Amino acid sequence: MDAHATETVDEIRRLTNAALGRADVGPITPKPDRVAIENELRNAAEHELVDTIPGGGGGLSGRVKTLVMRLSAFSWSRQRSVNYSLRQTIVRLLDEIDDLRSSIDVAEQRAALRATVTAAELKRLGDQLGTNAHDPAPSVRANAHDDVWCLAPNVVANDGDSELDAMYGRLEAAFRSADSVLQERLGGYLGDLEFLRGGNLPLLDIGCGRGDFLAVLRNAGIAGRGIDQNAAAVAEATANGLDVTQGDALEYLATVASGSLGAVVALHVVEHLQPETCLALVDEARRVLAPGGLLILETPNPTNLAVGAASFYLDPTHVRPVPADYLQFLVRDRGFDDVEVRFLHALPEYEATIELPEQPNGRAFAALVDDLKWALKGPLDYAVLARCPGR
Amino acid sequence: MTPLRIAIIKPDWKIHGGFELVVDRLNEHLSAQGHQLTVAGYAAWPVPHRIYGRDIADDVWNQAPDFFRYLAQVEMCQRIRLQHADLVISTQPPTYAAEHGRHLALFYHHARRFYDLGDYVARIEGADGSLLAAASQAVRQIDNELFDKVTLMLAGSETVRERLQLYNHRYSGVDVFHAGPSIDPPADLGATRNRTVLSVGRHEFPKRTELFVQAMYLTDRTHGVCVGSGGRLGSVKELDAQLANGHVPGETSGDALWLRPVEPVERGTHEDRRPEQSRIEFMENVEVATLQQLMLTSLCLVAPALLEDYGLTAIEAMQHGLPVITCRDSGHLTHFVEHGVTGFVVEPNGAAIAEAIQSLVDDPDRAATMGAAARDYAAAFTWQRAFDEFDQAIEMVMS
Repeated sequence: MDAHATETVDEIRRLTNAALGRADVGPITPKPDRVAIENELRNAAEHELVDTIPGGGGGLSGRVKTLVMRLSAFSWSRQRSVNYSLRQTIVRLLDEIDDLRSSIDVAEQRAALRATVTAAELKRLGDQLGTNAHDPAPSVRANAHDDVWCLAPNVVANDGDSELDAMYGRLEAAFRSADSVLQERLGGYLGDLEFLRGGNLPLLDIGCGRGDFLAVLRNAGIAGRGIDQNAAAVAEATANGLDVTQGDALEYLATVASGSLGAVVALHVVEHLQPETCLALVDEARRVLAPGGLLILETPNPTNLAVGAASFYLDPTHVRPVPADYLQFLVRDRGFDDVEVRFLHALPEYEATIELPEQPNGRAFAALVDDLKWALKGPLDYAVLARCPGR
Repeated sequence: MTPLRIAIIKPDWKIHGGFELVVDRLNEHLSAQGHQLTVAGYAAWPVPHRIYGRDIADDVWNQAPDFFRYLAQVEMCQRIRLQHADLVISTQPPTYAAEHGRHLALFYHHARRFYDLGDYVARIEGADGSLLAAASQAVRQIDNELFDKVTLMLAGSETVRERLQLYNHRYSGVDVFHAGPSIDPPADLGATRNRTVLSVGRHEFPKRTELFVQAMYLTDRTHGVCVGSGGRLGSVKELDAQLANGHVPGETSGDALWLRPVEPVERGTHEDRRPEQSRIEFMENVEVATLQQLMLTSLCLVAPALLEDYGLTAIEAMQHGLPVITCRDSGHLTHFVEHGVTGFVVEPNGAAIAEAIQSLVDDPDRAATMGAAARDYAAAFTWQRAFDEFDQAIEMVMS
């Protein structure tokens, strides 16, 4: 086999291991004992009697010897055939031994790799638990991976990074709002969800984190459950008596019967999603909501320039800002009715009246000031609220 | 059955052959049952020369291009996200690499150059035997592991199921599905038959249309119609031209006639060289009605393919009252043909095929009797039976 072919066989081996999820064991080199055995076989073949039948020489005895050799050539030939078969059998057995050795090597390396990965994972979880003992658990953690139910391979994201995950928890804890502010903001939706009180149709909170919103709802007598990918957050919510599942939102939605929910809420989730996934989420929400059911999607408001240009990127798992015009269009396009955009959480300066001095272009100047106020101090977030048709 | 979200994994080979027609029918059937279908297609050609994060150098790629193309597709299929499908149906190799807990593999054939056709491919392409062996070993190893993850394999025929036993040691988890015809069988035959000998199939290895062409020049009072296109069409037409000119190609015996590499012949050039005395009419693309008319008026069908997976064309021809001439190494085609009753099973060479054709030309009554027997036999191959088998497989996977 030439060098190119050897390289190709190596590549075949490497890629086969990759396809099977195995560690690459490197080229299989014959063990020294095999080399020795093969040399022995080669030597034996070279010195086979039938290949070295001496000439009969002169004289009567020589001629008789030659005659005997010729007469016995048939049996020599059969012996050669037997020898050949034996050699081939030994070589095949050696091949099988090599295969078994390589299988054992692969198994050992896989086990070693798994042990390494497991140790790293345990350490990471241990570190996270240590951090969480002092800091609140990460809340909304929508995965930026593509989870639309059937995606072409070229839009599938790579696997996550565990270091990033750990850092994310600490980052969110550092920048999250005070609990009292959070409660107040979440309470703003209670009026919209009043229709669920005492009914049979529950609410689903996607990316519920540690269950802040579900707790607000429970206090208001509205039944709800949640789904979040973050195990620590889900554990905290569960410990708080909330009905929360850990997992992927779209996977979870796929298990939910059509028309069985009264409301689907996803607060600060869509900005973590690729457009295809966002679309799938809206479609799934449309499917699982009962007629008249409410969809609420809250996300940062990128038309506040401080948000769109800076604070949005504080979260490294944010995929892209989602303008209200787009989200409103999307929801309407996917079949929702009564679509409303509600801007939320403006800073106090936005509401303050600014006394402007008298000047020739007073009205234009005032409009400009309004625009600046919106762009710099305006609503930090907005929500799209929409109804499932067929009420 | 409750409506399901079904993802069908199908590579796009830019052709619409028999298998695609089968998939179309099944799609229609599933849609009619209220299932939500998504075809997760991907371009099978060309594929990127980067697999599992490794860039494959051209000189390495070109030494085993089919292996690397196979593996690139394995990776593409493994990366398709299917978790929100209730059921996944994979189709051609290696779409069974798609991962899902409820996975039905509609399995018509392996990547056969790495299995039963390997030796032939090596001879046609002059491929490096050791490389092909390494690639074959790798593909079989990968396939075996991938098959383990499939819930149920639905083999396209008993022959395909036997291959899964022989090469992959799969003695359980395999059911058989018998596709119905892509041409509806006629209510009655009626038409008068002439001496047209029909061949229907792509001009690709291992369909062996060369044997049909050779046979036609060894028969008397016959006219051949060869329906189909493909990469070897130019070469087959060249053979026809040579034979029509009375020139006997150097390699006409044994396997050499069809086991030879072919150079692409520029489209149209072979037409100029075809003499008036050609005995074969080549029809690349025919309407269903035309094909149906051909099947109603011809004498017999010649189906000489090597190790055929199923042989839908033969079933269609039999339903139109045609006896079928096939070869002893034609795979599942030999299941359809009972020698001397519904057709002939002969040695894989032009002379043996010609002898069988001539016997039908010389004895039209016998041809009619065999055609009637063929029609009776093939009547069992209906789409209703196929749908029943398919639905049963889905129920088994879902349970």
